[in-house]
Amino acid sequence: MGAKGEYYPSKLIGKVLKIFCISNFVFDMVSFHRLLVVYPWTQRFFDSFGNLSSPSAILGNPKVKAHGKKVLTSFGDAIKNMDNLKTTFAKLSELHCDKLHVDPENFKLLGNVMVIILATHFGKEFTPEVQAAWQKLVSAVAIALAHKYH
Amino acid sequence: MRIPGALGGVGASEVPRSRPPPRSPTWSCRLFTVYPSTKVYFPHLSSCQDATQLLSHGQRMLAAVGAAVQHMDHLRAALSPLADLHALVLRVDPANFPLLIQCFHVVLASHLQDEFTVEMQAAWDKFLTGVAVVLTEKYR
Repeated sequence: MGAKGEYYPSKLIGKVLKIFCISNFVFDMVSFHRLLVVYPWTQRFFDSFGNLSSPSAILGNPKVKAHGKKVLTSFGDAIKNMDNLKTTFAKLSELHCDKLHVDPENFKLLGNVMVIILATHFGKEFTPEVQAAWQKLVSAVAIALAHKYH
Repeated sequence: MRIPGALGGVGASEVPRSRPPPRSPTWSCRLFTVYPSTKVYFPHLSSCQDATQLLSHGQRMLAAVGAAVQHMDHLRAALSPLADLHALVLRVDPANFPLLIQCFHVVLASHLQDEFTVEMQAAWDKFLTGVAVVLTEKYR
C-alpha cells in the first residue's frame, strides 16, 4: 500500500516489466505508432513530425520513434515512483497543459494502447489480474499527468 | 458508416471461427476483474466462480457482436431490439462501453498476439465504438 493509500500490485507489474526488458521488446515505438494509427486525431499534436500519412509512414518516422522513447522513459519513472506519481509528473503535467496543450483524454488512450500491446506480447500470461494491475497503473499515470491542468 | 470491410484484413466473423475461442469465461471475468465497478450490472454473475454462467454470458455478448458484424452497414436496424433493451431495461451507463471494448481488445490481442496488427485494432475499435453508439442512442 502506498503512502497515500494507493495500492499497486507491484509484483504483477514487476513480473511483466522484467520479462519484456529481457526480451528486448520494442515497446516504445510500437505503442506510440499504434496510438497515432488507431486514434488518428492524436496526430494533431505532431504537425512538425513530417510524414504521418499512413501506418507505414508513421512506423518509419524517426521523430515518432524518438518521441516514443521519450514517453517510455517517462513511464519507466512512473514504475519507479508508483507511490508518488503526482509529484513525479508535476513538471510534465504543467508542460502538457501550458505549452503542449494536450487534451488529457489522450493520456488514457495511450495507456490503453500500451496495455493492448502488452497483451499481444504476453498472450495467455496477460491474465485478468495482470491486466488489472497495468490498467490501474496507466490510469494513475494519466491522472498524474492531468493533475496540474488549469 | 465507413468501416474497413474486412476489419483489418481478416473478416471479423472469421476471427472467432479461425481460432478456437478460449474455453474459460475469459471476457466477462476479465471485465469484472479489471473494472470491478461493472459488476453492479451483473449481481448474479459477479463472483467469477460460476464458470458456466460466465461462459454463457460471454458467449451471448460475443454472439451479439457477431450479429453486428454480419450487419455492419445496417447497425441501427440490426441492433434496434438490443438498443431498446439497453435504454429501457438494462440502462447501463454509457461510460462502461469503452471499458468493455478495452477488455475485448485485450482478449483479442492476447489470443491473436502478432496477428492483432495496428490495422486490425483500428478496425475493431471503430466498429465496436459504432456498436456502442447505436446501443446507447435511444437513452434519451
